[in-house]
Amino acid sequence: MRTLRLGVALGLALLLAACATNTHKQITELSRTQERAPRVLLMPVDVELMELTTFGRTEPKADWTEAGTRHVSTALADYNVERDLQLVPFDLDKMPDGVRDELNQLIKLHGAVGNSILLHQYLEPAKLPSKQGKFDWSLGPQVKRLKETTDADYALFFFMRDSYSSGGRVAIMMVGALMGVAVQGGVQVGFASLVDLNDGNVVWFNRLMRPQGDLRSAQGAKESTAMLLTGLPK
Amino acid sequence: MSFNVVLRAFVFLLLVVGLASCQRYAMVQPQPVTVKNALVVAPNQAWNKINIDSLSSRPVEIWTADGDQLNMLMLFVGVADGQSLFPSPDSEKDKYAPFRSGMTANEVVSLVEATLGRYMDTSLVESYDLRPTPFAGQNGYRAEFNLVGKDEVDRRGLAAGAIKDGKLYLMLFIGTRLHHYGLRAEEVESMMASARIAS
Amino acid sequence: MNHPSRRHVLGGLCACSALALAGCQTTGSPAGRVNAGYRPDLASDEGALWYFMDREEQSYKRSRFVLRDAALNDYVREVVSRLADAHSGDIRTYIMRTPYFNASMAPNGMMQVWTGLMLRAQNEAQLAAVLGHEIGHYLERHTLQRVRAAREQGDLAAVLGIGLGVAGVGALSNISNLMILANLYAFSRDQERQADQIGIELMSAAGYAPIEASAVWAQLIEERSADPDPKSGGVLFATHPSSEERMQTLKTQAESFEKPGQDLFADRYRQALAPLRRTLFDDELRLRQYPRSLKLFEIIARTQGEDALVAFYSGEVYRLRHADGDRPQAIAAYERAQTLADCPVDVHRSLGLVHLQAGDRTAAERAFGEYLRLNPTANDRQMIQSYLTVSPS
Repeated sequence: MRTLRLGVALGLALLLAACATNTHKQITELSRTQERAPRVLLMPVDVELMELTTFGRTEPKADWTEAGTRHVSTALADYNVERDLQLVPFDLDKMPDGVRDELNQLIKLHGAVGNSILLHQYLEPAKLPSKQGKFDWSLGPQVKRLKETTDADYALFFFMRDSYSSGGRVAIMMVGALMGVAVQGGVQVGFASLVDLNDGNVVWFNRLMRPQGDLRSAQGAKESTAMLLTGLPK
Repeated sequence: MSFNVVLRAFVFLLLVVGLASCQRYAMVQPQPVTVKNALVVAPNQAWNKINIDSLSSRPVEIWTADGDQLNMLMLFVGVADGQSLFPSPDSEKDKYAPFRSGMTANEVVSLVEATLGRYMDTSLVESYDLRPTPFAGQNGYRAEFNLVGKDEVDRRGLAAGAIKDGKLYLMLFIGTRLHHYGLRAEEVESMMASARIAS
Repeated sequence: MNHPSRRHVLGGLCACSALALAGCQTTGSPAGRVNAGYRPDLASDEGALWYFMDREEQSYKRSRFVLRDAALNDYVREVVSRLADAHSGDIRTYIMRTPYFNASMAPNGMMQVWTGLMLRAQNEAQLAAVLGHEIGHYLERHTLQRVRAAREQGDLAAVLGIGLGVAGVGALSNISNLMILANLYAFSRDQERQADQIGIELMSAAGYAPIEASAVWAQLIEERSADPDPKSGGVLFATHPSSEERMQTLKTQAESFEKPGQDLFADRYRQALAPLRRTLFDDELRLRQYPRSLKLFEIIARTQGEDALVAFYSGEVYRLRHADGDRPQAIAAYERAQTLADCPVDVHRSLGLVHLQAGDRTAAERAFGEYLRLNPTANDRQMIQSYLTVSPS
């Protein structure tokens, strides 16, 4: 029984790639000037909370998602003060008519680059040999449009998906353990990236993947946010 | 939309982890290389060839410099009369229309446009600026493309090709409009200019 | 409404996975017809459906696939408002540039109308028949019913996920989730029948000839019969009543809904579609489904009369297909197109290409010359000129 449980734990650990966060960066410090703290554009926080049902279906929960999004925004605002940053929320709808589509393209492009990083930087079988392990991803200099419109130096993208086991799911995990099968419980996954608005380079990127964490409470969201921002250049 | 894109990416990631025991990409060195014994190209930078089982027996290779979602170079190296540019899946046998030896330049480019539309599952694809240009020592042509993928990212494309002995030789490059097309455009132009059919 | 192939099942899935994923344990009010202005409670399962669908809808607002043309959007909105009446404020319509026959309704009232449907509807009454059907899904909260019914099904199928877990790909249970979603996204046969019933009621009450509802299906069946490789359809087709059955039922029902003064509104429809028509044909042609396209163009010519675009694009299919005997067919179609009003200038280029392939350089030269004269800024000018100077390799 004990060995079986150990097996389950090991399986989980393997699945979640041993460490909760995995960071890549091009810089270790933000460029700071005398005049002002670095101005960081906070792109719309993309958070979704789900429940993992008895047999492994994930069901998005609207009320949890609302609360989670709120908690993360508060946590980010606190973080902002601690780090001496000017974190400015970005709202595409408030941008001038003429540039909105263009800025939206930059956000979509970031989605494509972010997916590429998750795939080619983090997954051994999908690594691009030509990169030789280098972390040199970029959205290109067109991001200057975002700088011109908002007067910001960097843009921070924040994405998190959190699922929690229902009571029934926990029971199944126990049964699975008895049968020697690793049944996955709730998982927290997310990524965050920091883009330099002068050249479009993704100067810092972090992926989070762990079987714990809870965005449903303010305290949990603070801990999770700090975890996802591990290693953010100062 | 972003949620779905990322969700799909995760599912894809997990699939790759679970199923792919071998590397999905192989290094292409910056030196002249003969693609499938049919077309010699001379990259100046390193590329990555995507290993796709269904293409192994077809006269086509797909390379990427920065990841498939950011840019792709498709090399069609001797597509015969009646053969489509990509193999159609069993579930949709007529997904990709066949190439015909008698096609004019306009028809070849129109076929490339249709194939791209099917491949990327988009109707937002158009070709323009078709003009004659020598390719691999033949009376060839080139054309440009605009397309938007399901991920809503704007892309640009460039194709250059020619028919020799009834077979189509064509290079097609697509990349994100804002960055990853321009990043490799010069390299691709030089590869297109120096391509030659292997004797 | 109908899903022509499995690929679209998955396409629709991705577009709507947020909605399909959203099923919850807290059940809210029992499903029944909604009142005008309805919004569910956020904490209920229906509230979750709406919440995530609203989020999804945000991304449509800037999607490149949504047609922005104001006049066309106003036109479709008017049709919707005639059908939905008091509920019309609850339904938002997005015209999607997707060349397949389809329309869809999300639980929060977000309706998609695909351009492939607009090409295939022969008149406003046919468009109204399909939109009325979709509005029926909304009024009866069919997605919510499906989510509730599928929840148990889903939990059963996910047992499979544990099985896969043994093989070391535990996370693959996501894939079995996707299969369940496909079932979920499809309405049940009974729901389709009910939506058909509501659709025909709404359209006839709004002044449209109810017989057109069955005509839509008759045309689709005819078009599909031309396909040498009819898509077997996958998950969704299994749960739809057969097209034949729906056509028959709607045909029978039409009699009881017929009233004096009902109309097809064919002219109004054609007028509204006119600026979009070439795009619709181009998108259809790009699919390279030659036999189906030819059959479709034949149906359009039969119901609306052959105009220059129908003739021209029939010619394009023959020209691009390159099958035996296609060349004279292409030339004949192009020549018919030239006798009709508003023939596209491109007809001369197409004729030139066909003559060039046939080795008739004199005729090719004449046609190309005409093309370049009428379209002096053609961006393939150099290519066209080179056809006449370079001998074919």
